[in-house]
Amino acid sequence: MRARSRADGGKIVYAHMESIEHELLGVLNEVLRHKRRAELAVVERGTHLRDDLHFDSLDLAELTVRIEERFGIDVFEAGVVSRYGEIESRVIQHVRSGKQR
Amino acid sequence: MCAAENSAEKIWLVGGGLPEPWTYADLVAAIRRERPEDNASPPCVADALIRLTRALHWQQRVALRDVTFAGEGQLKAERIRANAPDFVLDEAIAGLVRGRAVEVDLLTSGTTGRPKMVTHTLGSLSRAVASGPRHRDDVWGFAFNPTHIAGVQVYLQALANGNTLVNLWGIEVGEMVERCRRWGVTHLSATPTFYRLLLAQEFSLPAVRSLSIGGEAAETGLLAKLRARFPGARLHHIYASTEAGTVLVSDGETFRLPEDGSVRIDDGRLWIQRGALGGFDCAAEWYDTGDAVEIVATDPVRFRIAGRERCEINVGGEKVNPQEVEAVLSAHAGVAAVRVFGRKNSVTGEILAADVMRSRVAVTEAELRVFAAGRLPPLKVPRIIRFVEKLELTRTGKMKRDA
Repeated sequence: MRARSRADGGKIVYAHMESIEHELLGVLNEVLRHKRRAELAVVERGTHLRDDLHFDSLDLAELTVRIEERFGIDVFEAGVVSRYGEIESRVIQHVRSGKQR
Repeated sequence: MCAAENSAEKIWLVGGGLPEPWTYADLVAAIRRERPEDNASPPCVADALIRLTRALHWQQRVALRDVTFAGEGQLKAERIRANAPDFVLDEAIAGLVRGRAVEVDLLTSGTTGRPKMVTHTLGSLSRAVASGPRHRDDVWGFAFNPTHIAGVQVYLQALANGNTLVNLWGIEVGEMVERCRRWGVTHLSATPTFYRLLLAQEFSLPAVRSLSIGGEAAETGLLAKLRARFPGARLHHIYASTEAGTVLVSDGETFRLPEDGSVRIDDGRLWIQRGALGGFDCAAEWYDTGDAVEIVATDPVRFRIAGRERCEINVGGEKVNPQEVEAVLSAHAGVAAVRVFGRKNSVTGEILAADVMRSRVAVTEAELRVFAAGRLPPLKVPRIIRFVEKLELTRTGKMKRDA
Protein backbone atom coordinates (compact mmCIF):
# COMPACT_ATOMS: atom_id res chain seq x y z
CA MET A 1 0.00 0.00 0.00
CA ARG A 2 1.51 3.28 -1.07
CA ALA A 3 0.78 6.62 0.50
CA ARG A 4 0.90 9.67 -1.67
CA SER A 5 2.09 12.94 -0.27
CA ARG A 6 0.35 16.22 -0.92
CA ALA A 7 2.18 19.41 -1.42
CA ASP A 8 1.28 20.58 2.08
CA GLY A 9 2.84 17.45 3.59
CA GLY A 10 -0.41 15.63 4.34
CA LYS A 11 -1.08 12.08 3.19
CA ILE A 12 -3.98 11.22 0.95
CA VAL A 13 -6.39 8.52 2.01
CA TYR A 14 -7.12 7.99 -1.67
CA ALA A 15 -3.98 5.89 -2.03
CA HIS A 16 -5.26 3.60 0.69
CA MET A 17 -8.59 3.15 -1.04
CA GLU A 18 -6.96 2.60 -4.38
CA SER A 19 -5.12 -0.33 -2.90
CA ILE A 20 -8.26 -1.94 -1.53
CA GLU A 21 -9.98 -1.62 -4.88
CA HIS A 22 -6.97 -3.13 -6.55
CA GLU A 23 -6.84 -6.03 -4.11
CA LEU A 24 -10.55 -6.62 -4.45
CA LEU A 25 -10.23 -6.69 -8.19
CA GLY A 26 -7.52 -9.26 -7.73
CA VAL A 27 -9.92 -11.44 -5.76
CA LEU A 28 -12.59 -11.09 -8.43
CA ASN A 29 -10.05 -12.04 -11.07
CA GLU A 30 -9.10 -15.15 -9.10
CA VAL A 31 -12.68 -16.33 -9.39
CA LEU A 32 -12.83 -15.39 -13.08
CA ARG A 33 -9.60 -17.25 -13.72
CA HIS A 34 -11.00 -20.41 -12.20
CA LYS A 35 -14.11 -20.00 -14.30
CA ARG A 36 -11.75 -19.96 -17.33
CA ARG A 37 -12.86 -16.45 -18.16
CA ALA A 38 -10.62 -13.56 -19.08
CA GLU A 39 -9.40 -11.44 -16.21
CA LEU A 40 -10.53 -7.83 -16.08
CA ALA A 41 -8.30 -4.79 -15.81
CA VAL A 42 -11.18 -2.62 -14.75
CA VAL A 43 -14.67 -3.33 -13.45
CA GLU A 44 -17.31 -0.65 -13.39
CA ARG A 45 -19.18 -0.18 -10.17
CA GLY A 46 -22.45 -0.82 -11.96
CA THR A 47 -21.34 -4.19 -13.27
CA HIS A 48 -23.96 -6.80 -12.42
CA LEU A 49 -22.35 -9.95 -11.11
CA ARG A 50 -24.99 -12.31 -12.39
CA ASP A 51 -26.24 -10.63 -15.55
CA ASP A 52 -22.90 -9.18 -16.76
CA LEU A 53 -20.30 -11.54 -15.37
CA HIS A 54 -22.58 -14.60 -15.44
CA PHE A 55 -21.86 -15.58 -11.89
CA ASP A 56 -24.04 -18.36 -10.56
CA SER A 57 -24.67 -19.03 -6.89
CA LEU A 58 -21.51 -21.15 -6.53
CA ASP A 59 -19.40 -18.38 -8.06
CA LEU A 60 -20.91 -15.86 -5.68
CA ALA A 61 -20.29 -18.18 -2.76
CA GLU A 62 -16.67 -18.61 -3.79
CA LEU A 63 -16.26 -14.87 -4.22
CA THR A 64 -17.65 -14.11 -0.81
CA VAL A 65 -15.42 -16.71 0.86
CA ARG A 66 -12.31 -15.36 -0.87
CA ILE A 67 -13.22 -11.78 0.07
CA GLU A 68 -13.73 -12.84 3.65
CA GLU A 69 -10.34 -14.53 3.77
CA ARG A 70 -8.64 -11.48 2.33
CA PHE A 71 -10.49 -8.66 4.08
CA GLY A 72 -12.25 -10.24 7.03
CA ILE A 73 -15.76 -9.31 6.06
CA ASP A 74 -18.66 -11.42 4.87
CA VAL A 75 -19.94 -9.04 2.20
CA PHE A 76 -23.24 -10.85 1.74
CA GLU A 77 -24.02 -11.26 5.40
CA ALA A 78 -26.57 -8.45 5.34
CA GLY A 79 -27.98 -9.74 2.08
CA VAL A 80 -26.75 -10.71 -1.35
CA VAL A 81 -25.99 -7.69 -3.50
CA SER A 82 -25.97 -7.61 -7.27
CA ARG A 83 -23.46 -4.99 -8.31
CA TYR A 84 -19.71 -4.89 -7.97
CA GLY A 85 -19.80 -1.33 -6.67
CA GLU A 86 -21.87 -2.39 -3.66
CA ILE A 87 -19.35 -5.07 -2.74
CA GLU A 88 -16.53 -2.59 -3.13
CA SER A 89 -18.30 -0.13 -0.86
CA ARG A 90 -18.85 -2.71 1.84
CA VAL A 91 -15.23 -3.83 1.79
CA ILE A 92 -13.89 -0.29 1.87
CA GLN A 93 -16.22 0.67 4.69
CA HIS A 94 -15.18 -2.37 6.65
CA VAL A 95 -11.49 -1.75 6.22
CA ARG A 96 -11.78 1.95 7.00
CA SER A 97 -13.69 1.28 10.17
CA GLY A 98 -10.68 -0.57 11.41
CA LYS A 99 -12.36 -3.91 11.95
CA GLN A 100 -9.63 -5.82 10.21
CA ARG A 101 -8.68 -9.34 11.22
CA MET B 1 -58.66 -33.36 -10.96
CA CYS B 2 -58.93 -33.51 -14.72
CA ALA B 3 -60.06 -30.42 -16.50
CA ALA B 4 -62.59 -30.84 -19.24
CA GLU B 5 -61.49 -30.78 -22.84
CA ASN B 6 -62.71 -27.23 -23.22
CA SER B 7 -60.08 -26.07 -20.81
CA ALA B 8 -59.10 -22.92 -22.61
CA GLU B 9 -58.61 -21.21 -19.28
CA LYS B 10 -56.05 -23.76 -18.06
CA ILE B 11 -52.65 -22.94 -19.38
CA TRP B 12 -49.84 -25.39 -18.88
CA LEU B 13 -46.43 -23.87 -18.92
CA VAL B 14 -43.67 -26.31 -19.51
CA GLY B 15 -40.61 -24.05 -19.79
CA GLY B 16 -37.23 -25.42 -20.68
CA GLY B 17 -37.23 -24.59 -24.35
CA LEU B 18 -40.84 -25.26 -25.24
CA PRO B 19 -42.91 -22.35 -26.48
CA GLU B 20 -45.27 -20.90 -23.96
CA PRO B 21 -48.10 -20.95 -23.20
CA TRP B 22 -50.03 -24.10 -23.95
CA THR B 23 -53.71 -24.83 -23.83
CA TYR B 24 -55.22 -28.25 -24.01
CA ALA B 25 -55.75 -27.80 -27.74
CA ASP B 26 -52.12 -26.79 -28.19
CA LEU B 27 -50.97 -29.89 -26.33
CA VAL B 28 -53.03 -32.22 -28.47
CA ALA B 29 -51.84 -30.57 -31.68
CA ALA B 30 -48.23 -30.90 -30.54
CA ILE B 31 -48.67 -34.55 -29.65
CA ARG B 32 -50.01 -35.22 -33.13
CA ARG B 33 -47.05 -33.38 -34.65
CA GLU B 34 -44.50 -35.29 -32.63
CA ARG B 35 -46.19 -38.62 -32.96
CA PRO B 36 -48.42 -38.78 -36.00
CA GLU B 37 -49.24 -42.39 -35.17
CA ASP B 38 -50.75 -41.34 -31.85
CA ASN B 39 -54.47 -40.86 -32.47
CA ALA B 40 -55.53 -40.83 -28.89
CA SER B 41 -57.66 -38.03 -27.49
CA PRO B 42 -56.37 -37.48 -24.01
CA PRO B 43 -59.37 -37.04 -21.73
CA CYS B 44 -57.91 -34.18 -19.78
CA VAL B 45 -55.08 -31.66 -19.61
CA ALA B 46 -53.05 -33.80 -17.24
CA ASP B 47 -53.17 -36.71 -19.59
CA ALA B 48 -52.31 -34.54 -22.55
CA LEU B 49 -49.31 -33.21 -20.70
CA ILE B 50 -48.18 -36.72 -19.88
CA ARG B 51 -48.34 -37.71 -23.49
CA LEU B 52 -46.56 -34.62 -24.67
CA THR B 53 -43.74 -34.87 -22.15
CA ARG B 54 -43.24 -38.44 -23.13
CA ALA B 55 -43.18 -37.46 -26.77
CA LEU B 56 -40.69 -34.68 -26.25
CA HIS B 57 -38.60 -36.33 -23.54
CA TRP B 58 -38.83 -33.21 -21.46
CA GLN B 59 -36.32 -33.34 -18.61
CA GLN B 60 -34.36 -36.08 -20.31
CA ARG B 61 -35.14 -39.72 -20.81
CA VAL B 62 -36.72 -42.27 -18.60
CA ALA B 63 -35.43 -45.78 -18.14
CA LEU B 64 -38.47 -47.97 -17.75
CA ARG B 65 -38.59 -51.54 -16.73
CA ASP B 66 -41.53 -53.84 -16.86
CA VAL B 67 -43.78 -51.30 -18.44
CA THR B 68 -46.93 -52.61 -20.01
CA PHE B 69 -49.42 -50.64 -21.98
CA ALA B 70 -52.94 -51.62 -21.09
CA GLY B 71 -55.25 -49.85 -23.42
CA GLU B 72 -55.16 -46.40 -24.84
CA GLY B 73 -53.50 -43.83 -22.66
CA GLN B 74 -53.21 -46.13 -19.69
CA LEU B 75 -49.89 -47.19 -18.28
CA LYS B 76 -48.82 -49.61 -15.66
CA ALA B 77 -45.21 -48.90 -14.85
CA GLU B 78 -43.73 -51.23 -12.27
CA ARG B 79 -40.63 -49.28 -11.62
CA ILE B 80 -39.18 -45.96 -12.70
CA ARG B 81 -35.54 -45.26 -12.20
CA ALA B 82 -35.01 -41.65 -11.24
CA ASN B 83 -31.29 -41.24 -11.56
CA ALA B 84 -30.47 -37.68 -12.40
CA PRO B 85 -30.29 -36.67 -15.14
CA ASP B 86 -32.32 -39.58 -16.55
CA PHE B 87 -35.69 -38.95 -15.05
CA VAL B 88 -39.09 -38.18 -16.38
CA LEU B 89 -42.04 -38.05 -14.10
CA ASP B 90 -44.76 -38.70 -16.56
CA GLU B 91 -45.21 -42.39 -15.87
CA ALA B 92 -45.39 -41.64 -12.19
CA ILE B 93 -47.94 -38.98 -12.90
CA ALA B 94 -50.00 -41.38 -14.93
CA GLY B 95 -50.06 -43.68 -11.94
CA LEU B 96 -51.03 -40.88 -9.63
CA VAL B 97 -53.80 -39.73 -11.90
CA ARG B 98 -55.25 -43.22 -12.04
CA GLY B 99 -54.59 -44.12 -8.45
CA ARG B 100 -52.21 -46.89 -9.32
CA ALA B 101 -49.36 -48.04 -7.07
CA VAL B 102 -46.26 -46.87 -8.87
CA GLU B 103 -42.80 -46.94 -7.43
CA VAL B 104 -40.17 -44.33 -8.10
CA ASP B 105 -36.51 -44.80 -7.27
CA LEU B 106 -34.55 -41.76 -6.23
CA LEU B 107 -30.85 -41.69 -5.64
CA THR B 108 -29.49 -40.00 -2.59
CA SER B 109 -25.91 -39.72 -1.40
CA GLY B 110 -25.71 -41.93 1.61
CA THR B 111 -24.06 -41.34 4.93
CA THR B 112 -21.38 -43.94 4.25
CA GLY B 113 -20.24 -42.49 0.95
CA ARG B 114 -22.06 -44.89 -1.33
CA PRO B 115 -25.11 -43.55 -3.15
CA LYS B 116 -28.25 -45.08 -1.80
CA MET B 117 -31.44 -45.86 -3.65
CA VAL B 118 -34.64 -44.84 -2.01
CA THR B 119 -37.85 -46.22 -3.42
CA HIS B 120 -40.97 -44.20 -3.00
CA THR B 121 -44.48 -45.02 -3.93
CA LEU B 122 -46.63 -42.24 -5.17
CA GLY B 123 -48.41 -42.59 -1.88
CA SER B 124 -45.32 -41.70 0.07
CA LEU B 125 -44.28 -38.98 -2.36
CA SER B 126 -47.64 -37.30 -2.40
CA ARG B 127 -48.37 -37.54 1.29
CA ALA B 128 -47.88 -33.81 1.54
CA VAL B 129 -49.90 -33.05 -1.58
CA ALA B 130 -53.06 -31.13 -0.84
CA SER B 131 -55.74 -31.18 -3.48
CA GLY B 132 -59.19 -29.69 -3.63
CA PRO B 133 -61.20 -26.76 -4.90
CA ARG B 134 -59.26 -24.19 -2.94
CA HIS B 135 -56.13 -25.13 -4.87
CA ARG B 136 -57.77 -24.85 -8.22
CA ASP B 137 -56.22 -21.50 -9.13
CA ASP B 138 -52.79 -21.96 -7.61
CA VAL B 139 -49.93 -21.06 -9.94
CA TRP B 140 -46.65 -22.69 -8.99
CA GLY B 141 -43.19 -21.29 -9.54
CA PHE B 142 -41.05 -24.35 -10.18
CA ALA B 143 -37.67 -23.56 -8.70
CA PHE B 144 -36.13 -26.91 -7.88
CA ASN B 145 -34.05 -29.37 -9.77
CA PRO B 146 -36.80 -31.55 -11.27
CA THR B 147 -35.09 -34.76 -10.10
CA HIS B 148 -34.76 -33.52 -6.53
CA ILE B 149 -37.28 -34.87 -4.04
CA ALA B 150 -38.58 -31.34 -3.53
CA GLY B 151 -39.02 -30.80 -7.25
CA VAL B 152 -40.95 -34.04 -7.49
CA GLN B 153 -43.28 -32.94 -4.74
CA VAL B 154 -44.03 -29.55 -6.25
CA TYR B 155 -44.63 -31.21 -9.60
CA LEU B 156 -47.08 -33.65 -8.05
CA GLN B 157 -48.85 -30.91 -6.13
CA ALA B 158 -49.38 -28.87 -9.27
CA LEU B 159 -50.46 -31.81 -11.34
CA ALA B 160 -52.87 -33.17 -8.74
CA ASN B 161 -54.77 -29.89 -8.94
CA GLY B 162 -54.37 -29.16 -12.61
CA ASN B 163 -52.32 -26.07 -11.76
CA THR B 164 -50.01 -24.12 -13.99
CA LEU B 165 -46.32 -24.72 -13.48
CA VAL B 166 -43.95 -21.87 -14.26
CA ASN B 167 -40.41 -22.96 -14.93
CA LEU B 168 -37.94 -20.97 -12.80
CA TRP B 169 -35.16 -23.52 -12.67
CA GLY B 170 -31.74 -22.42 -13.85
CA ILE B 171 -32.63 -18.95 -15.14
CA GLU B 172 -31.47 -15.47 -14.20
CA VAL B 173 -33.10 -13.80 -11.25
CA GLY B 174 -34.44 -10.87 -13.26
CA GLU B 175 -36.16 -13.21 -15.70
CA MET B 176 -37.48 -15.25 -12.77
CA VAL B 177 -39.21 -12.24 -11.29
CA GLU B 178 -40.60 -11.33 -14.71
CA ARG B 179 -42.02 -14.83 -15.23
CA CYS B 180 -43.60 -14.77 -11.79
CA ARG B 181 -45.24 -11.48 -12.61
CA ARG B 182 -46.29 -12.43 -16.12
CA TRP B 183 -47.96 -15.68 -15.15
CA GLY B 184 -49.32 -14.57 -11.79
CA VAL B 185 -47.36 -17.02 -9.66
CA THR B 186 -49.13 -17.52 -6.33
CA HIS B 187 -47.00 -20.29 -4.82
CA LEU B 188 -43.24 -20.49 -4.57
CA SER B 189 -41.30 -23.41 -3.27
CA ALA B 190 -37.52 -23.22 -3.20
CA THR B 191 -34.32 -23.58 -1.20
CA PRO B 192 -32.93 -20.85 1.07
CA THR B 193 -30.18 -20.27 -1.50
CA PHE B 194 -32.77 -19.49 -4.16
CA TYR B 195 -34.49 -17.01 -1.88
CA ARG B 196 -31.24 -15.36 -0.83
CA LEU B 197 -30.45 -14.69 -4.48
CA LEU B 198 -34.01 -13.61 -5.24
CA LEU B 199 -33.96 -11.10 -2.41
CA ALA B 200 -30.93 -9.38 -3.95
CA GLN B 201 -33.27 -8.10 -6.64
CA GLU B 202 -35.70 -5.23 -6.06
CA PHE B 203 -39.24 -6.35 -6.76
CA SER B 204 -42.75 -6.59 -5.50
CA LEU B 205 -44.87 -9.66 -6.27
CA PRO B 206 -48.13 -9.13 -4.44
CA ALA B 207 -49.80 -12.13 -6.10
CA VAL B 208 -47.55 -14.57 -4.22
CA ARG B 209 -49.51 -15.88 -1.28
CA SER B 210 -47.48 -18.92 -0.28
CA LEU B 211 -43.75 -19.41 0.21
CA SER B 212 -42.27 -22.79 0.97
CA ILE B 213 -38.67 -23.04 2.07
CA GLY B 214 -36.68 -26.21 2.49
CA GLY B 215 -33.76 -28.36 1.48
CA GLU B 216 -31.26 -26.70 3.78
CA ALA B 217 -31.31 -24.87 7.05
CA ALA B 218 -33.04 -21.49 6.78
CA GLU B 219 -31.53 -18.94 9.11
CA THR B 220 -33.75 -16.71 11.20
CA GLY B 221 -32.81 -13.55 9.33
CA LEU B 222 -33.89 -15.03 6.02
CA LEU B 223 -37.40 -15.89 7.16
CA ALA B 224 -37.81 -12.37 8.51
CA LYS B 225 -36.64 -10.85 5.21
CA LEU B 226 -39.05 -13.02 3.26
CA ARG B 227 -41.94 -11.95 5.47
CA ALA B 228 -41.03 -8.34 4.82
CA ARG B 229 -40.71 -8.75 1.06
CA PHE B 230 -43.83 -10.88 0.68
CA PRO B 231 -46.17 -9.34 3.21
CA GLY B 232 -49.25 -11.14 1.92
CA ALA B 233 -47.73 -14.59 1.90
CA ARG B 234 -47.88 -17.48 4.31
CA LEU B 235 -44.55 -19.03 5.12
CA HIS B 236 -44.04 -22.79 5.14
CA HIS B 237 -40.69 -23.76 6.51
CA ILE B 238 -40.20 -27.38 5.51
CA TYR B 239 -38.00 -30.12 6.78
CA ALA B 240 -37.80 -32.96 4.30
CA SER B 241 -35.40 -35.64 3.21
CA THR B 242 -35.07 -37.92 0.22
CA GLU B 243 -35.82 -40.83 2.51
CA ALA B 244 -39.01 -39.50 3.99
CA GLY B 245 -40.29 -36.72 1.78
CA THR B 246 -41.84 -33.85 3.68
CA VAL B 247 -41.67 -34.55 7.38
CA LEU B 248 -42.27 -31.28 9.20
CA VAL B 249 -43.85 -27.98 8.25
CA SER B 250 -43.68 -24.83 10.30
CA ASP B 251 -44.69 -21.22 9.78
CA GLY B 252 -41.54 -20.00 11.47
CA GLU B 253 -38.09 -20.98 12.56
CA THR B 254 -39.09 -23.72 14.99
CA PHE B 255 -40.89 -27.02 14.46
CA ARG B 256 -43.27 -29.16 16.45
CA LEU B 257 -43.44 -32.93 16.51
CA PRO B 258 -46.30 -34.30 14.42
CA GLU B 259 -49.20 -35.72 16.37
CA ASP B 260 -49.11 -39.07 14.63
CA GLY B 261 -45.95 -39.94 16.49
CA SER B 262 -43.97 -40.59 13.33
CA VAL B 263 -41.11 -38.39 14.47
CA ARG B 264 -39.25 -38.30 17.75
CA ILE B 265 -36.19 -36.71 19.27
CA ASP B 266 -33.61 -38.94 20.85
CA ASP B 267 -30.01 -38.35 21.77
CA GLY B 268 -30.35 -34.79 20.48
CA ARG B 269 -31.29 -35.90 16.98
CA LEU B 270 -34.39 -36.37 14.87
CA TRP B 271 -35.64 -39.89 14.21
CA ILE B 272 -38.36 -40.95 11.80
CA GLN B 273 -40.52 -44.03 12.10
CA ARG B 274 -39.90 -46.65 9.46
CA GLY B 275 -43.49 -46.58 8.18
CA ALA B 276 -43.11 -42.94 7.22
CA LEU B 277 -40.09 -43.60 5.02
CA GLY B 278 -39.68 -44.51 1.41
CA GLY B 279 -38.63 -48.12 1.07
CA PHE B 280 -34.94 -48.44 1.61
CA ASP B 281 -32.88 -50.60 3.83
CA CYS B 282 -33.85 -49.58 7.34
CA ALA B 283 -34.09 -52.63 9.48
CA ALA B 284 -34.83 -50.78 12.69
CA GLU B 285 -38.16 -49.37 13.73
CA TRP B 286 -36.75 -45.85 13.78
CA TYR B 287 -34.47 -44.13 11.25
CA ASP B 288 -31.77 -41.81 12.56
CA THR B 289 -31.77 -38.77 10.26
CA GLY B 290 -28.49 -37.60 11.72
CA ASP B 291 -29.88 -34.10 12.09
CA ALA B 292 -29.16 -32.49 15.42
CA VAL B 293 -32.01 -30.58 17.01
CA GLU B 294 -32.04 -27.84 19.59
CA ILE B 295 -35.09 -27.82 21.81
CA VAL B 296 -36.28 -24.29 22.43
CA ALA B 297 -39.52 -24.93 24.32
CA THR B 298 -41.36 -27.74 26.06
CA ASP B 299 -45.08 -28.49 26.47
CA PRO B 300 -45.49 -28.61 23.60
CA VAL B 301 -41.99 -29.37 22.43
CA ARG B 302 -40.62 -26.88 19.92
CA PHE B 303 -37.21 -27.25 18.33
CA ARG B 304 -34.83 -26.00 15.67
CA ILE B 305 -32.86 -28.11 13.27
CA ALA B 306 -29.39 -27.34 14.50
CA GLY B 307 -27.25 -28.99 11.90
CA ARG B 308 -25.91 -32.21 10.57
CA GLU B 309 -23.97 -34.72 12.53
CA ARG B 310 -23.45 -37.03 9.64
CA CYS B 311 -20.89 -36.83 6.98
CA GLU B 312 -22.60 -34.52 4.53
CA ILE B 313 -22.19 -31.01 3.28
CA ASN B 314 -25.20 -29.06 2.09
CA VAL B 315 -24.31 -26.85 -0.87
CA GLY B 316 -27.29 -24.69 -1.75
CA GLY B 317 -29.75 -27.44 -0.90
CA GLU B 318 -27.87 -30.26 -2.62
CA LYS B 319 -26.10 -32.78 -0.45
CA VAL B 320 -22.52 -33.63 -1.15
CA ASN B 321 -20.64 -36.50 0.34
CA PRO B 322 -17.12 -35.27 1.07
CA GLN B 323 -15.62 -38.73 0.90
CA GLU B 324 -16.74 -39.10 -2.68
CA VAL B 325 -14.93 -35.85 -3.55
CA GLU B 326 -11.85 -36.88 -1.58
CA ALA B 327 -11.69 -40.09 -3.56
CA VAL B 328 -11.66 -38.14 -6.82
CA LEU B 329 -8.96 -35.70 -5.71
CA SER B 330 -6.83 -38.48 -4.26
CA ALA B 331 -6.62 -39.97 -7.71
CA HIS B 332 -4.40 -37.08 -8.80
CA ALA B 333 -0.69 -37.87 -8.60
CA GLY B 334 0.02 -34.57 -6.89
CA VAL B 335 -2.26 -35.35 -3.93
CA ALA B 336 -0.84 -37.34 -1.05
CA ALA B 337 -3.84 -36.81 1.21
CA VAL B 338 -6.87 -34.55 1.16
CA ARG B 339 -9.61 -33.34 3.47
CA VAL B 340 -12.80 -32.02 1.89
CA PHE B 341 -15.00 -29.90 4.08
CA GLY B 342 -17.71 -27.26 4.01
CA ARG B 343 -16.90 -23.59 4.11
CA LYS B 344 -19.76 -21.44 5.43
CA ASN B 345 -20.98 -18.55 3.34
CA SER B 346 -24.06 -16.37 3.13
CA VAL B 347 -25.04 -17.42 -0.38
CA THR B 348 -25.27 -21.20 -0.50
CA GLY B 349 -24.90 -22.05 3.18
CA GLU B 350 -21.74 -23.98 2.44
CA ILE B 351 -19.39 -24.55 -0.43
CA LEU B 352 -16.76 -27.22 -0.74
CA ALA B 353 -13.22 -26.51 0.26
CA ALA B 354 -10.23 -28.84 0.31
CA ASP B 355 -6.99 -29.03 2.20
CA VAL B 356 -4.38 -30.94 0.25
CA MET B 357 -1.15 -32.46 1.40
CA ARG B 358 1.10 -32.56 -1.61
CA SER B 359 3.03 -35.51 -2.89
CA ARG B 360 6.32 -35.00 -4.67
CA VAL B 361 4.47 -34.33 -7.91
CA ALA B 362 3.85 -30.62 -8.43
CA VAL B 363 0.26 -29.46 -8.80
CA THR B 364 -1.57 -26.14 -8.58
CA GLU B 365 -5.02 -25.24 -7.29
CA ALA B 366 -6.14 -24.51 -10.83
CA GLU B 367 -4.98 -27.89 -12.08
CA LEU B 368 -6.79 -29.70 -9.29
CA ARG B 369 -10.01 -27.82 -9.97
CA VAL B 370 -9.86 -28.69 -13.64
CA PHE B 371 -9.08 -32.29 -12.71
CA ALA B 372 -12.07 -32.45 -10.38
CA ALA B 373 -14.36 -30.64 -12.82
CA GLY B 374 -13.70 -33.33 -15.37
CA ARG B 375 -14.96 -35.99 -12.98
CA LEU B 376 -17.61 -34.34 -10.83
CA PRO B 377 -20.65 -32.11 -11.29
CA PRO B 378 -19.96 -28.41 -10.60
CA LEU B 379 -21.33 -28.28 -7.08
CA LYS B 380 -19.04 -31.11 -6.00
CA VAL B 381 -15.87 -29.38 -7.18
CA PRO B 382 -14.06 -27.72 -4.27
CA ARG B 383 -13.90 -23.97 -4.81
CA ILE B 384 -11.17 -23.21 -2.32
CA ILE B 385 -8.11 -25.43 -2.31
CA ARG B 386 -5.25 -24.88 0.11
CA PHE B 387 -1.99 -26.73 0.37
CA VAL B 388 -1.24 -27.68 3.95
CA GLU B 389 1.31 -29.46 6.06
CA LYS B 390 -1.28 -31.56 7.87
CA LEU B 391 -4.99 -32.32 7.77
CA GLU B 392 -7.32 -31.33 10.55
CA LEU B 393 -9.05 -34.12 12.40
CA THR B 394 -11.79 -34.20 15.00
CA ARG B 395 -11.21 -35.40 18.52
CA THR B 396 -12.25 -38.88 17.50
CA GLY B 397 -9.79 -38.91 14.65
CA LYS B 398 -12.21 -38.32 11.79
CA MET B 399 -11.75 -35.71 9.10
CA LYS B 400 -13.09 -32.41 10.29
CA ARG B 401 -16.01 -31.53 8.03
CA ASP B 402 -16.28 -27.86 8.80
CA ALA B 403 -13.72 -25.14 8.17
